[in-house]
Amino acid sequence: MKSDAMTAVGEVLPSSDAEEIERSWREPERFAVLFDRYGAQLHRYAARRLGDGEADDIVAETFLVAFRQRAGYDLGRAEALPWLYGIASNLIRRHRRAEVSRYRTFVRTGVLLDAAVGVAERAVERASAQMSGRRLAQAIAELPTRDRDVLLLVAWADLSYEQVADALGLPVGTVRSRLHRARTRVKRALGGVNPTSVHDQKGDIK
Amino acid sequence: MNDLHEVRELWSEAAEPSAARLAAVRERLLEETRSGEQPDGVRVRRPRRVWAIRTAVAGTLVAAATAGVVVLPSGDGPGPAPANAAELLTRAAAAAGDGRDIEPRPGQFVYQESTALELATGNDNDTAPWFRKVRYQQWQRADGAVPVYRRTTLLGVVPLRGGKVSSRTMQLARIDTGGRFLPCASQPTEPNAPYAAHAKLPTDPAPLRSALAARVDAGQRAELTQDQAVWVNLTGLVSAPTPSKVQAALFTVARQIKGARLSGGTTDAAGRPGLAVTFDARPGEREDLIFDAKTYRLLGHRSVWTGAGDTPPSGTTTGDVAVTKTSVVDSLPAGVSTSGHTCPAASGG
Repeated sequence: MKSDAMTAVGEVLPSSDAEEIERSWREPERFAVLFDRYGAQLHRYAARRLGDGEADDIVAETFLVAFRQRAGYDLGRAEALPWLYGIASNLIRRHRRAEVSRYRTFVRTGVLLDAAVGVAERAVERASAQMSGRRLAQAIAELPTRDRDVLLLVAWADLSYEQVADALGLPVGTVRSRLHRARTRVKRALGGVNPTSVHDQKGDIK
Repeated sequence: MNDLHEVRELWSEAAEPSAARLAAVRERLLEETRSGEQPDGVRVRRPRRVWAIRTAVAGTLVAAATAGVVVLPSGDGPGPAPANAAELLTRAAAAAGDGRDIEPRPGQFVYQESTALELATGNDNDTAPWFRKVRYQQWQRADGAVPVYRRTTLLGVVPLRGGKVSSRTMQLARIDTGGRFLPCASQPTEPNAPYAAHAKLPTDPAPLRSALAARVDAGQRAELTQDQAVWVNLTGLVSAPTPSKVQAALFTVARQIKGARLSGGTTDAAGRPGLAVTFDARPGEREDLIFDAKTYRLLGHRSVWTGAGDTPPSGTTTGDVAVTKTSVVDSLPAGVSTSGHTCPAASGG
């Protein structure tokens, strides 16, 4: 941490995402470094929300969009993960009907369509988990999209409040309040309400 | 609080995708990175790309970055200034067509020098947006047998909104300075394509436009009109070393694009007075071609953010490239070895 290291040309440090992105301005292939760092976890996140079959496209599209927008990347953000999750969230939002419908199918039938390897097998083994799972899925399905994004970025993508704020371009306070709202609904759902009789302002499960 | 825990656990058994599957997705990204497509939004900082300044804010910055140059009110070439974009592009095509070809032999190098102003935007508190001014020197072997060698020299850093330059910004600004070989390219619309590839381009506007349109990739098709995509590919190509007849035809193609307009007098990144033609080439961004106000020879190109939001403010120059020298030399600079740096022979051109 010598102070003069900041101005030394050619100082070699482990590269930050921001540095890789800046390098990719002139060496576009460098951008694949970001894929190597984050592709797998974004894929898992997308698969959990939209199904395994959609995940390839969501991830590919996320990185294509990111690649094309890389010149606008704020190089002050050393870590690009929130940025990538923000792009992925936008893309996932376009499929929100499919997403909600998938959750609702699970609520009704206990079958998660197009689950990634590992989910379907174990979900069936765990009947009790499945029961609470159905309530959870119901609650998640009924969240407004913007609250769902916040909840799932925290719970499934393991982002901090600050990272979620960065990803979605929101003030941290808004992230907190949305998360609070979403968790209130989840708690209510877990409070023993029968998932087939949950009513909400727009409860439309038949 | 176990509600969040319950959500975390829901379907958490999902495994990450297999390596083979991920590799296929990764390949889609790599295809894009090889396509020569330029980034959206704020323009890529490539010497072959161009950028400029128009508003008072941006004009001030350029003036700062180019040591006191001011924007001219209008062109002052011989005879009346061009009244519109078509007139300017017609004169530019004529000027290019009258120009001497550099005609490098296959083993020779085209040496090109340019001055570029490049914007790095930021919206956090740590690193404010800043411009860096650099000099690029490129040695491009005419037959493409060796990748382009580029030397980047940092000339200065100017914060977008004024104030001091942080040490972090200086560190970032130095990234990618020094010399290096660039990726190989064989398609004429790719960045860094060799003179030999450009020499194969049609010299008639119609087939040339078709050639540019044929290189429009899926990403461009999704987001741009065909005119926009052609303009983007065209601006990427015009400042590269090309035979004069190709360059003349490029300006004719530009002239035929509806919506291109004269934006008036300006000053290029090297401080030279010029006249610009502009086109809304992307959502939220226009791309200008800048011509010498007297000779109508191309000086460079520039992109300007016109989109919403204040990062950067609308009217900010996002990239500005002025080509200042093009010549033919016999070798790479002293001390640079091509060992280990060769490109596959171009397939079909």
